[in-house]
Amino acid sequence: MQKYFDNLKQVEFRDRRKKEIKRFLERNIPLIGFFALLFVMGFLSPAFFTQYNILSVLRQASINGLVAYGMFVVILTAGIDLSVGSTLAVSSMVMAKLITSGMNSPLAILIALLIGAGVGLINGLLISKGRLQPMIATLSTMMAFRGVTLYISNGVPVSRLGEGFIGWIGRGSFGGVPLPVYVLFVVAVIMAFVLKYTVFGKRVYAIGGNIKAASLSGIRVERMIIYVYMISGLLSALAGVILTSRIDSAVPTAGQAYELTAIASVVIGGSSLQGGRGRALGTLVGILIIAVISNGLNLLGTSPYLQQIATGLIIVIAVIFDRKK
Amino acid sequence: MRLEMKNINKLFGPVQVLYDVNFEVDANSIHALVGENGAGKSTLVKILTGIYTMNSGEIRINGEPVKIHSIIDSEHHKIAIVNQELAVFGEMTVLENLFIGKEKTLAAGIINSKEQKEIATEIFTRLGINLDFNMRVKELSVGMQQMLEIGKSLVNDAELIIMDEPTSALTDREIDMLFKVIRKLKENGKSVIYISHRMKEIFEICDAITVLRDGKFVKRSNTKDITFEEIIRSMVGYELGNLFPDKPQVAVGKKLLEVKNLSHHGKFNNISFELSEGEIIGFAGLMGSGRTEIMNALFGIDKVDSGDVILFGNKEHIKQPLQAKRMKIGYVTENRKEEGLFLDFSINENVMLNNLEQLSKNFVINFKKSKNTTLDYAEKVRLRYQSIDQTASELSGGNQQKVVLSKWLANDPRILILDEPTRGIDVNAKKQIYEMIFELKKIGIGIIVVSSELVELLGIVDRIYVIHEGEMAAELVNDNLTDEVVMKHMMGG
Repeated sequence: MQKYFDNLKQVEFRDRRKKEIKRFLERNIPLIGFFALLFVMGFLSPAFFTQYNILSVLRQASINGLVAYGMFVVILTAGIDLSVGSTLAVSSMVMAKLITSGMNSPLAILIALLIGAGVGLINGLLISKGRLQPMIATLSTMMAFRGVTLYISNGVPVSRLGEGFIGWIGRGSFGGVPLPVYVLFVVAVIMAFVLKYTVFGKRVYAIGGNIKAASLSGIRVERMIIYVYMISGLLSALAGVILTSRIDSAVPTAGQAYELTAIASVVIGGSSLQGGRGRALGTLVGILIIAVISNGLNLLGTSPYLQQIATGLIIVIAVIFDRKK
Repeated sequence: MRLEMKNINKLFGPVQVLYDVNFEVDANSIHALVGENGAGKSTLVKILTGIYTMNSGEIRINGEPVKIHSIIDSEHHKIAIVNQELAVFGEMTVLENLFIGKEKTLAAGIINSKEQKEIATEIFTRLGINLDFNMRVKELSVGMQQMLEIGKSLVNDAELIIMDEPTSALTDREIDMLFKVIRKLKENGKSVIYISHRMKEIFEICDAITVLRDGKFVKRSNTKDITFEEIIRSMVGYELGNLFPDKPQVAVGKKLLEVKNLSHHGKFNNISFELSEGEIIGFAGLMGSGRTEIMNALFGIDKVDSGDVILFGNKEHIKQPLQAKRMKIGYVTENRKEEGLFLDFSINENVMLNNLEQLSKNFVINFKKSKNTTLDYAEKVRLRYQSIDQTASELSGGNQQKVVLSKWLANDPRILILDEPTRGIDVNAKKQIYEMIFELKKIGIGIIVVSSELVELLGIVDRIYVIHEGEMAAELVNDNLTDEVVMKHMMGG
């Protein structure tokens, strides 16, 4: 009998070692894929690894990236936020209107961010208190706030917001690196920290992992869901502010289909749409993969339509790898 | 903690489910709460844990009246529950699971994992359990997940721990470990409410017992002053007799199935057995020994690497369930809620969806035929229901299982595989299922029963195949066989 248990222990130990190695590789599939992609791009195009190009990839990634991080937290709770693009647009449009009518830009930016959080609050309330499915709730707000944007702008872009703070935030740079890139990295670091080391983060995973058990554990699930959608709204609005600043105008159709790019980034980054699984670093990698593909295909002079085909393929590959876990 | 629940009444709409129930648990004791499904045990416990609110009655803790309106209230009064369906987070680590909702923090909501680790180490040392805190919970066995839940209740400083069917998914070894832990809890001054259908366990571990029947209090007694028969009698309200009906004497007919050297790398290896008409064979083995995997392979759910399956004299390669179904094999899986039933669909739809080929013509479903078939089998399996359009989720566990049986019987099976056929269902329904199995035996159906309950196997089967770590450890004829002998083989002895 003792021999049986000893033997069992040995087998357990061996299995665990194997499992650890396997788990390490599995967890880092997106990162490995990303490096492979960089290698291939560098090989195919000499222009890829130039400072100018890398900065432009990063700048391109920053706006989508902020939206994707909001989406990421929502997806961790097994939710979805389709309204991110409309949130971006409505906060951008309101801010531009306020600035062109003479409000100072920091205040207008603050209002834009509050609007973003407010849309998130509405989403959160519809989902937690109204018991709507996240897909339905955010589909409704997506359409409604796109409508609001078109209504207040009359469908016409608002341009020439001027210099100063509003010009600096999207077009400025520090040490040669565009400011939006810093913003994205700060958000990424905060996300990684909050999700890994704080009570809030653990509860987000818990809700996505098993919502019933989460509420049995005394977690205020409804409140948490509201917070999570507010974060998503806030980050979308921040992306809106930066986009508006960068192109010096608020466009009523801004941010259309951003929700899809964001979902793609999160999924490519190894998160599960069923919630409870995913890492902040993975999402950053997902964002960068999409940016590199679109940049790389540009550099190679291929049709822009090919980019979407490539992104579609990568999502499928990512999900297949994910399921193997 | 001493708990008194007095004159508890609970109504759901117009339906009264608890009538003036009295329930007392002494300080520092293990108290069994028994009754058939629907007797009101779960409702009573849910009132105690704040999930339901009672319509009238009083709860006292250590003599003081208390109000419990939410889970948070119940935690505040140091009551915790270890649920039958475990409430764990599979993707999170053991440590994260232990402290979720009760995290220890440094500042600004940052988790103090050092303190959490210290507390967890202290708790698990006290319980005598060794657990790797960094392991993901989905990698733990069901038994260990349960230990984790118990640990979690101690993190919450619970004084009264409710365990709802804690052993229903455990192997005997895990049950021993659980009992050690329960005794440790008592040594540490805690009280435990132990809800179970398994009398043997109740007599082994509980100090006292309360019996409920049809929402009413029936009996409270010290375990040592009451017999098994008395408990059963007060539970069902009449004499149940022996749990197992007499085994019918049936002449064994033609050979239905012969399995030769079936192997699937990493799951099972070199498995051979046979089954004839009118025979009941049993599969015993620890959880994870490969029992269920063999059945899955037989039914075409999983692939096999090598080996032969000879059905009705012909060698067959069953690659998908549809094929197995057409060969008249039925498979009642171990997990009726997830695999056996469409819970939100009606009884009729559940039966219909498994038998669409017989019940339709030119792709159009014959609803009248379907209805008649369902009614016919509902009667045969003695289903207790109001209407066949009732959803399966409204039925008790025993009746749900009968629906699963109906949907397979309607396919006119020659071989029926039953994996844990009586898990989580009450004594009375169990007995009915055994009777049904014997009826099927009489009409010449070959039956394979996979079960964790050795008593069940010994009570109904003709032969037992014991699986140990994917290998066939023994083939035992069930004649004066004892559970010790089977257990020895199960443990690889």
